[in-house]
Amino acid sequence: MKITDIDYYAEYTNSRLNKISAKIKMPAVFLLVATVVVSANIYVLGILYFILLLIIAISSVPKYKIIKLSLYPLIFLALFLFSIRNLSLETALIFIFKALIASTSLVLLIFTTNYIKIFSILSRFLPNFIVNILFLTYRSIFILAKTFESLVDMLKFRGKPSIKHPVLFFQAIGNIVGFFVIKSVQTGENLYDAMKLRGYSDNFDYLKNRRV
Amino acid sequence: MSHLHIPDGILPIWLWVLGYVIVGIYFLVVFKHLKQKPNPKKLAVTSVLGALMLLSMSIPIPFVLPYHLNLSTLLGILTGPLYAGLAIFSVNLIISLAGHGGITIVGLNTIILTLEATVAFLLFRFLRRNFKKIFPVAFISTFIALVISTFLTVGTVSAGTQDVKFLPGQHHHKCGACNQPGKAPETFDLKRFIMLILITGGLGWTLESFISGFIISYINRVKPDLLEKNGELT
Repeated sequence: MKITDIDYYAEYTNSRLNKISAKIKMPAVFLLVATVVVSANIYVLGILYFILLLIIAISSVPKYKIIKLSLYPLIFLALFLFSIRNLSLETALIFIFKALIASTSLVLLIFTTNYIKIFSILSRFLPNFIVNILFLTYRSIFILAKTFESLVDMLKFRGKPSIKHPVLFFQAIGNIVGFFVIKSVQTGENLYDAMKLRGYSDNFDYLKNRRV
Repeated sequence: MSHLHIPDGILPIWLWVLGYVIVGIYFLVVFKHLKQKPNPKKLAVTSVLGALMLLSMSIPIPFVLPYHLNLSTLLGILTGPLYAGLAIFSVNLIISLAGHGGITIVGLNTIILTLEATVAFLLFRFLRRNFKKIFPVAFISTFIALVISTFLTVGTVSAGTQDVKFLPGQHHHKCGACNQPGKAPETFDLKRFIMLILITGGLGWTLESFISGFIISYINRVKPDLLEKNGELT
């Protein structure tokens, strides 16, 4: 799932969850993650996950996409669970619930809250240069995504290299990403120069006072 | 596979808090460095390269298992370890919010990937001085950095599973239920974990190193000055 798509849903979905302030949603997610960290009670965890699913079911959010993305940590959890000897069903379920509660609550947060609003709140706790990097990284995703899409289109028209010829395939990917690296460095320099011309003072302090 | 994809609530609290504390110390070091040598333009370029890292992760590589590129080694080679760590932190934070790995693990992942970037940077600089062909230099630097960071990942998980009481099923052992026939205590099998990581990671190291070799060869052909600045992009 592309971050640009998630941003679209966070910005344009008209659900009640989207309208709730990030100041309320973020502490709620924090509480859920804290519960996941300290609790090993299967019933508490099971009920919490059920409540999250219920919230998704009754809200007008992209349900399938949220649930699909939230299942992603299970792939890596499987590696961990396979490494436990004499694993009981209870332990497996506790770990699965822990992974799902944390990922579902975070995915639900980013599907209903713009990243910029999340960063605005985080900027109160993080140093200035980190806030700069977060905002600039996020902004750059959208700039680079356009170039990336054009590159993918170009590959389609020219004929994608096949994995049947692995060396050629990896060389093609290497060349594309290499081009992308050079383009990114140029984009970064241009972005900075353009922002400077428009009055950027090497910080995003004004975003700290933004309504979230 | 060179970093932790472990979800929240699995590793013990002391371990991931320690991760955040070390990242905090790293931020202090960066803060002092930026006060002495401010370079906001390089911060902007590093951020864009961070965005590139995020986009590269969305390029699926169909090879036995569905892999994606990581590019932290490339970031290290291009920007140097000090700046690479900043982009790595922001990328980790953004992807953890999208459910890719736990939010509590961001600190530990930042440390592991920054060390990976540092090893790649130092090795690349050293090998480049001694060898002419760029592809093997990039391949070896990336490969060794990935192997080291994978073992750091294994070490971290090992440290987090030493005290197996964190496994909820362990209460059986204390209450004596494990004395019942057929109930053995749950234990974390590190050897099995290492085997699984090596099987999946081994392929990943080779793929990422090959592609990084081609990426750096391309940059060397088209814009070699990016590689000659030893991390000083701007």
